[in-house]
Amino acid sequence: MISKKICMVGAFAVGKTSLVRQFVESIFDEKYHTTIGVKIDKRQVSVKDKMVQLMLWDIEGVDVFTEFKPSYLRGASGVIIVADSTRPKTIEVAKQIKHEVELTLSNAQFLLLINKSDLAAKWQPTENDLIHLDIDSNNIFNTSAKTGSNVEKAFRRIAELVLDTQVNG
Amino acid sequence: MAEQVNKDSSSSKKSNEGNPDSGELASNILNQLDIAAFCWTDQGFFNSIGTPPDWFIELYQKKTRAIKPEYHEFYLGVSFPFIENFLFDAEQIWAEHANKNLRSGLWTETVNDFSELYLEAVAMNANKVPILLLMNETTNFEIRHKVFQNARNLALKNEQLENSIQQHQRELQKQLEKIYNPSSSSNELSSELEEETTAIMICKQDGDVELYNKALIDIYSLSAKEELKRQSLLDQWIKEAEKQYPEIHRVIKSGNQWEGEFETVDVNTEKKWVRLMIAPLVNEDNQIARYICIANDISSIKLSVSEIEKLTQIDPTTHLPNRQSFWKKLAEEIDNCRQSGESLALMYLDLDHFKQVNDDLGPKQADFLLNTVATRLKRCLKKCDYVAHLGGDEFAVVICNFSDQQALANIAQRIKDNLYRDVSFSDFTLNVSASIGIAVYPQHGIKPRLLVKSADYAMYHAKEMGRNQFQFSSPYSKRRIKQKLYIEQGLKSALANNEFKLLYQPQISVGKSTEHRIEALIRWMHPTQGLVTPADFISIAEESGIIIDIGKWVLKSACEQISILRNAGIYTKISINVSPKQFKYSDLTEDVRSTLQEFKIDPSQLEIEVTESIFVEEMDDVIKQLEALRALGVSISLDDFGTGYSSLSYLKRLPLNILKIDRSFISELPNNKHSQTIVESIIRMAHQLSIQVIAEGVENQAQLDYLKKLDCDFVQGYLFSIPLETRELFTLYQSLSVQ
Ligand SMILES: Nc1nc2c(ncn2[C@@H]2O[C@H](COP(=O)(O)OP(=O)(O)OP(=O)(O)O)[C@@H](O)[C@H]2O)c(=O)[nH]1
Ligand SMILES: [Mg+2]
Repeated sequence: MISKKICMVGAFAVGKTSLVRQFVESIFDEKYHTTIGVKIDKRQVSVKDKMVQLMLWDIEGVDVFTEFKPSYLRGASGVIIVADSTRPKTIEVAKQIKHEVELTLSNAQFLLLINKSDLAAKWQPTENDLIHLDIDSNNIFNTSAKTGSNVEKAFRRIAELVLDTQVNG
Repeated sequence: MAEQVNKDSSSSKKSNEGNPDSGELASNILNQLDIAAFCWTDQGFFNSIGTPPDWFIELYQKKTRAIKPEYHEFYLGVSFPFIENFLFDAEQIWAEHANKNLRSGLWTETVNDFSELYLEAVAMNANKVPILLLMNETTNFEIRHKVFQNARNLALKNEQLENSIQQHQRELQKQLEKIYNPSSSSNELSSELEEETTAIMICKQDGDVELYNKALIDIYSLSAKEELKRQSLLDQWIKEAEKQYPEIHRVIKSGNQWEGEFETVDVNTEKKWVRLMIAPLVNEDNQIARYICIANDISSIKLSVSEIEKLTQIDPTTHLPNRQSFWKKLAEEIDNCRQSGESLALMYLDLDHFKQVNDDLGPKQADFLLNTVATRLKRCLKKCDYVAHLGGDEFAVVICNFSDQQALANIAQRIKDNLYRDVSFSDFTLNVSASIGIAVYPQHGIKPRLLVKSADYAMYHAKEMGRNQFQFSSPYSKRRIKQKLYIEQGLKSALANNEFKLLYQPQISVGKSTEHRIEALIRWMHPTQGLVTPADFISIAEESGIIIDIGKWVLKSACEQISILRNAGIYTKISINVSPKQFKYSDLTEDVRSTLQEFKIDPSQLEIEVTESIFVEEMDDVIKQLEALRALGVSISLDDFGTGYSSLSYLKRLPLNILKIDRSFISELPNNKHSQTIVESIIRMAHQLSIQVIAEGVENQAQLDYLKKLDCDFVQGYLFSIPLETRELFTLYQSLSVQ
């Protein structure tokens, strides 16, 4: 079976861990339990009659004392950048991370998840944000780890995208 | 025989009891420390050192679905994707055989539904054997997690608070827009808005306050009786905010709404952070009629954020490791190098003219610039190199793997080239460059502090040499910079401590003139360095601007001397050296006029001596000043003639009385043809322009004879007299009068 490495990245507390848990275990926890380091989970999905094993690297969020560690990205086919629809700052972090990822990975597929869609959104990506991020609008999802809205869809999308990608970097 | 064997074996057993097998001992220690240790084999598996701890066996069995691991062979890469990823970096460490280690960072493994393990891998070499340690950090994890969790909870809360303040301010603004009528004079705040915890103020365009609520009084700690200072607050806000938001003025004046956070001071001059919104209120004609200002005190939020940042070791502007982290890293690396015997290089970078950029552009743009520099720096270094932002415009780079000095020079050159490019701001571009100092462990220092100092001196040296370049630490740079710093420091107090003095060197007439002339020469008696000559301090004094005060002191002292000599019956002209800076930054003519008056001196007894360098800039202005000085009655002489920008033709334009031929030409007289021609033509040309000539540095009779033949007017040099103290000057004149 084909196995693909997917990295979850973004600011702290945007819901990276929650999204993975929702996708892998269908569980959601209101309590915030911050990630330190990395945790790897996996789930198989079938795309176009093929089974793909997604190795989901849930990577600690970026904040003032945790810098982004590009060494975790090695061999990743897909990168899911997560932002929080209730925190305008998180899109700034997303842009920064996208930039740093591109310095390390040359051939990865990107997804932008604007998470916590069950709550009232406090911001929307501006034209300028989209230019900076350079992610196709088909690959941007409003998700909720809480209700599960768009979660399955988003992970399937990344599976589709990475299926034809050569790993580089 | 058998007995012998027995005896042997029993004795060896005995010694083992006292000093047990060290392999077993190590394995036991590792077990107790919750560490699984392995030797890496190039067949793709790992050999465990001793028996691994139980937690590892359990985890390994679960991952590999093996019943029981056979022998001591473990296939870690296959079963643990995290380790597999780490092995790429680890193999590099192992290949180098160096006494280094590399940590993977924490990762989590799930053993079963109830328990997780928090692990970290370390790659290292022990006696050149490649080693992998798996450390079980589960017990320490809780404390570490708690710190992070608390910090993030707090940061999250602050972020939410800031967001809700922002939202509330916007709502209040809408509300005020609706209820406030700019054309009515009877506006009043409802009791609800009066009691609102957010400060509200409505003012006219000139800042004249019309309405405000209690919360505003609270932020500015005004006492109940005290009236809000009318007209001042809007101005104060704009001034305060401008430091971070240079555009605020424009935004507001153009009728747009402005929001931001900045530091303000209350009536007790206590600093506070406020979040402020200023929104224009337009009348029927769409003209700005009033400003609605809404403010919240957000000091507590800001404070906790800065606490978090301090706790942590990342610079908030550039997201590079900060100064604290740098010291830690440097100490660690030096420690590693001490053990491995390797070298390490430290590069100290300081942006050129950053202060100017900061002053001109404001902190926001300056931050942008720093960020750009940080990114460029990172890009031209290897991943294993370490970059820190020490604060301000200072960066440091620690480089561990380099072959020799040339390799370092290449890296420094690459950094220099990479930085030295335009930075594009929204509407202009700017050129950045840096000065780089390089120090190498152990040559230039074996302690972190010494190494940093050496690199810092070398950086300073690079600045001295004209910036945008790198310099290696050297005894020369250290000595030179140390001395310069001494001088810079010392100059600040030298005047007050009376450490300067003037020496006087006579200029002897060899022609028709009967004039007595002396040149005043400054000397500095440094309390610890001893005598410092002008060559060593004048340029520094010019750089720092102290030269203006020194110049005034020279003028005054010389004039005082003239009057003392005159009172003793000695009538002589004294010439003083004046710096170009005095022309540019002080009113020299006025200083001269008033000093002459103060000492009641005949202006013809004073001469102002300038060098050609004053004409480099704004020649017309300098000529005007020289003419004004001449109008006072003082004479003007031009020093060092022939060395710099000299052209005989421009002499015509200058209001000069006297010209000094540089000593370098005189010293080659009378035999050097080239010098002969120059000296001869200078004298002839000067005389045609009615300018007198002094030859400097006359040291022997042959030179004197030659100059006499050319009709030179005055000579100065050791042949006649060295520079003299006042006392010696008196003696000299007394002997002259006796003759
Ligand atoms: N309402 C809502 N809350 C969410 C959602 N996703 C996550 N959360 C909450 O947001 C908080 C952070 O979620 P995490 O999944 O731990 O975030 P993270 O990105 O993994 O955080 P770090 O590991 O610290 O970087 C938790 O309290 C979650 O319950 C969502 O879609 N909706
Ligand atoms: Mg997480």
